[in-house]
Amino acid sequence: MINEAGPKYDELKTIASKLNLLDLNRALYRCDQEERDMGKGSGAFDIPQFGPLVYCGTQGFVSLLTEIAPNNDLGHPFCGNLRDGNWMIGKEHQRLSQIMTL
Amino acid sequence: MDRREYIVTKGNSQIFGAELLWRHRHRYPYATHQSGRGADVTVSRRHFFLVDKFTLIDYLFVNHRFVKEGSRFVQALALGSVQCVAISDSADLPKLSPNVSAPKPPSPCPTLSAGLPHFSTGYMRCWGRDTFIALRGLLLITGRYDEARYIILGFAACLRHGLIPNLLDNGNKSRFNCRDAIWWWLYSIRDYVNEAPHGKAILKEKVSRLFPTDDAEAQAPGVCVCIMIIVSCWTLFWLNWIHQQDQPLHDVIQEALRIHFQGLVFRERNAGQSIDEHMVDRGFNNQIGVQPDTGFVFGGNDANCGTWMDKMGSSQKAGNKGVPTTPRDGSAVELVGLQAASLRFLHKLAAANEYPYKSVERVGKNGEKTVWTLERWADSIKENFDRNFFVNPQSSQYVNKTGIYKDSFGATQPWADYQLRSNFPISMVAAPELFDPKHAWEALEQAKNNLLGPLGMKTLDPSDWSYRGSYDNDNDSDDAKVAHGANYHQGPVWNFTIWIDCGSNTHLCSCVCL
Repeated sequence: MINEAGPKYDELKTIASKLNLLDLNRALYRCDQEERDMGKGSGAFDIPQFGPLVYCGTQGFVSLLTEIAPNNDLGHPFCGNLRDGNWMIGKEHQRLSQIMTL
Repeated sequence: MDRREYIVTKGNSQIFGAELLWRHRHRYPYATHQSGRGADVTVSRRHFFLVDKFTLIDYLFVNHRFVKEGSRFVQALALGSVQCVAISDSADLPKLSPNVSAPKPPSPCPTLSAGLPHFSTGYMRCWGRDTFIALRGLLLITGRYDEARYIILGFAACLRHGLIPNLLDNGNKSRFNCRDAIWWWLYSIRDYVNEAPHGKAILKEKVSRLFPTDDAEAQAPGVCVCIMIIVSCWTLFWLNWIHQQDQPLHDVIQEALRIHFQGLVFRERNAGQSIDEHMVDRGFNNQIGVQPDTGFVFGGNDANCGTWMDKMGSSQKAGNKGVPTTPRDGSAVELVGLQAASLRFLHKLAAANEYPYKSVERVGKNGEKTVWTLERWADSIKENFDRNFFVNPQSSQYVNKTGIYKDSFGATQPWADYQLRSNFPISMVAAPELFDPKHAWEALEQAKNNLLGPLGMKTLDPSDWSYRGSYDNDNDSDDAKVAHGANYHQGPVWNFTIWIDCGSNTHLCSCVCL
């Protein structure tokens, strides 16, 4: 369980308090077509040996982890991708940085 | 029940949206979130710091108690609002009048996706009926009143032929091939007025019409000066000038009612393969009107499909190309219900001097005038509805089931009137006054026994001769009933109708028990 106290949580609270619902749409969701439509040269995160995620925002990963976690499926292509480097977090960082309000 | 009968559909259903389906399919218990944090976060903490969306809800719906203090289920549904309301550069609203009251709309303006991912960008993103079926769930219940206001006004700006566009396509390339969006739009205005703070103010909001006349090309807001230079013909200029002025929303509403009451036959602009690959020529000839004896709205023909059951056949091989599976011409039952509710609402506003029109007028061929007050119109529908729509054994040779409400009245294909579909509960929620409570209860029992499933309602009674419950848009067989997904609304479950069924049960419980 995540701890609802401490500096990380305070940081999250600060960030969340500045978001509006349209920012959250970008942070959590947006499908491949919506992302490409923004014209920033980016679509959904494509996991090798698996395929593109449904959402470009964090929900894309969370949905997948919800399947992987109960089975502790460390052989899942997504886990392989995480071991291979900071691809996922790099991509998310890049796309969220493009949103001025974040 | 066969899982394949469930389809994730175009987003009429957002408040019962992807989140719900996804959880159900993965047998992911809602209870996981009751302790506050779900399994996904436990995992994420091991690897990354991922934001738990339920934490965010506390911040984002901060002014809205229903969501903020609601159950995890309500909050999960509210996330449909975050999923489907977004800014899309390729699917913007038409620019609203500069005189719209504050807070002013952003540019681009957020719009509702009719469904992710197939209806998320470009001309496919914004559908009139989908937008206004979902508006209350996505924007009013979640307290996003300003965004709701922009969308109501944006679509109002596009009114043409007394209709709200089927496909908005930024307003300048709208298609007017649906007969129902106007009534969903009006019903949404009713919801907005009733639920938004100072909701009545929207009736006086300014609308910059894109199509000031039926034949006008799309106009930009405030283009009068350009018109002055370009149009040398003074009369034409003057007409443009008059029409170009901002109109209050109540004038736009009244124009829609007046055109329906008068009746209109029109041919869709740019008719042909460039706007619709499959429709036969006759389908582009559309009509709308109001039956003089009952007051029911009617329209369409058997070569087009102007309601949400809008599947146009496209298989040459199977022979259903250009044949709409469910034309629902005549008076479709949910249109009459939404119409009655809207008229009653406007009449009450007019009685309180909050809507400036009390009646509508029709001019006949010889110049004779028929004037109906809004009250009379609503009363006429009420008097005629139950006896014309309720199906008893004596109704007709086409009766398949009794104790139900017809799906339409006066369809070109007479048997289609008598099909049991998931549309009449919409009218029960919108205008319960139209129904004899005992008949309504009987019909809901029929719907429960024949249509209702755990996630939605079947679009057609399984005992119907044309029922085909398994939808596959890639079906390339020579079976005309299913080829190219022709059976989209001939059985497959759509989930947006389930809230309607729940709603109509709730409405009627009190009526029948009393």
